[in-house]
Amino acid sequence: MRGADFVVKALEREGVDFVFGYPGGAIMPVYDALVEAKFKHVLVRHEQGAALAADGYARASGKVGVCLATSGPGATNLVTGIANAFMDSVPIVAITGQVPTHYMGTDAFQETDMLGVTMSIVKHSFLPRSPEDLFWMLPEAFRVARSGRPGPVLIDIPKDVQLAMITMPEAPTEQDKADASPDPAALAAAVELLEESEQPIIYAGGGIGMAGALDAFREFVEATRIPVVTTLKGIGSLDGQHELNLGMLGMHGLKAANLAVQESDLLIVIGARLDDRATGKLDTFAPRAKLIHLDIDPAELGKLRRPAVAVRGNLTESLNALRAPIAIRNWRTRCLTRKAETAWDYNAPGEDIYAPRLLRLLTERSGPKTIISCDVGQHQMWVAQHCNFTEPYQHLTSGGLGTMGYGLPAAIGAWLARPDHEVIVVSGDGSIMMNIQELATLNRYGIPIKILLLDNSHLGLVRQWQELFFEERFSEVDLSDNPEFIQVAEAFGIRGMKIEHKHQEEEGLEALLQAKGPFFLHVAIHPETSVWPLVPPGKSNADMMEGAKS
Amino acid sequence: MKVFMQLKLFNREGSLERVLGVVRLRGFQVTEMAAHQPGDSETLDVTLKLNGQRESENLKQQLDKLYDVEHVEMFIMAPVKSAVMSNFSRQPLAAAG
Ligand SMILES: Cc1ncc(C[n+]2csc(CCOP(=O)(O)OP(=O)(O)O)c2C)c(N)n1
Repeated sequence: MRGADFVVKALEREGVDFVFGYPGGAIMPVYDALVEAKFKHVLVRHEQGAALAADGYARASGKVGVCLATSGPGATNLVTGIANAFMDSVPIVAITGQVPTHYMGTDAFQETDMLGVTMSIVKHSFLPRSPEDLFWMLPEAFRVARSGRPGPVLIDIPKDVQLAMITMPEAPTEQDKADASPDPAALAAAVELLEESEQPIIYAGGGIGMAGALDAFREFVEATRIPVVTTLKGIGSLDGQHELNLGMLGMHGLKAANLAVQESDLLIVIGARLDDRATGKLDTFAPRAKLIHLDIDPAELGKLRRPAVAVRGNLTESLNALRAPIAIRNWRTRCLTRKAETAWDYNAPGEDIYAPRLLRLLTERSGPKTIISCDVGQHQMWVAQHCNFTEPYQHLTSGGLGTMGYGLPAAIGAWLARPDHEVIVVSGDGSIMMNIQELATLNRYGIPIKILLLDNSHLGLVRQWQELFFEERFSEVDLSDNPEFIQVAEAFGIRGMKIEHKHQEEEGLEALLQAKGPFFLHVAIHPETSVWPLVPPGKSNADMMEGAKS
Repeated sequence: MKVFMQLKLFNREGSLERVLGVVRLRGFQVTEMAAHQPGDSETLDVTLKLNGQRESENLKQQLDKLYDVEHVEMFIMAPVKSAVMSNFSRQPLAAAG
């Protein structure tokens, strides 16, 4: 067999069921071998779509996502998706073709130094110089991607290595290493802090779901009855409707969440990295709070704020050891009262469609098996604020990188991972155009994804910042020359409908949710609707701005 | 702050580059560097003198995470009574003073 045939066999051995990719010269031997593959190849229409679909697949399935591209432009087109997976700790393996080894370093046609290009946005990268290298590098790439703190791994395979003849090796027997157990002394110190604390808050991040520690986390919450705030990626780790869930914190966080954190005397940070969008100005963040920080990545412990106790290792074990009731009734009541007092009010003046209300209705109308995949901008924040999630995999969002164009390809990956789910893309009129070519992928494979486009004919979030922080000097945010989106969708074979008045909200959602195949709901909203609350950049989370509803 | 790092790397494609990339990204400047491949040729011993304002423990943790880094040790440089010898190269790393 050829090296390329082994690549396909190795993917089969890893239990891969979908590979997202796009062919080209330097990866042709692998495409040739794919003809006999037991898994399915999904042809996207831009390699960025392949990397982001692999990311969406990984988040929805909990397995490693795989994308495939040729050398040079194919490989560089993957870069945004790889960076996206890196920032959000998503396990993907990106396989790229490379020019033959004897051409490498000669500026050959379509030669790009992908090891160099991706070095700071991968967990690791491999460059097999011989077909035998493939034997250990491919399984190792999967192991590295999914172990510890997950992340993207690149394998850049020269064409001569793909073509070289080899004998199929035995299947590797090496097992994944289990996460180390937490240090008992650290756990004892953490319990002591918990017992002493009068105003504790649980700060829940995306690491909880990724570590498979949801049950232990939920039991920890029930046992301690400590109020919970979540990061953007932590959404769904506790049911959004749970009494103790105060909601998302941070720049567009809920007032009840931000103020509770600011007043707390102990933060139990779980699987989160204290990102600046979550903490606001760091030296004013939770000024009285001590930190118990639980994470699998030692480099996150103390990176931005020194914890009183750092607990590294298996999250389920750690949380089980911290489970104890604590007496904080007054504090809890105070947090929950403020939550009730600051609950959303969906009454907006005028006849326009009010995006937060529409999104609230969307989650009320959709069933428990729903995944929402967002793009980036105001609409992304409205989804985080107003949609309800009961599991983290149901909320696909580009958190760390904020990649416009994420929503549609990630939704494709997610639907293939969970075809029994209703997968809905919530996008903006700016973002949808970044990967609109993937509408062709829906049509090609009969993927029944629903798209809800919130069209404010602007780059809304940038427009809002220009209004608030650049004295209303609007610069390059007007998109009133957008194409007629329904016609675009129809050109790709997708039915659609446009709504623009408040009284059409129910009707539009009904059409979206009842459609059997893919559907495009074009929703015109007022261009000046803003996201509130907002913590201005560089300010404390206590300084939340509020404004008019439209 | 001046920091001194001793690393043992698996000498694979790009390993030194990765170390230097992390040093740059995390806010440190290389002021002196030596790399030496011991007889077995599987590993590379690297000594780095660095300058930077950020927390050096964070840099050490980031280096330690790299797949090719087998081992990393850090010393904060302060005046010493007698010369400090490298474990790897038997060269003086810090002169007395
Ligand atoms: C690829 C990329 N380019 C630029 C940005 C900067 N950016 C963040 S939000 C935004 C506006 C998004 O507009 P739209 O998709 O229409 O969403 P809205 O804010 O209007 O809901 C821009 C340009 C980004 N996040 N990603």
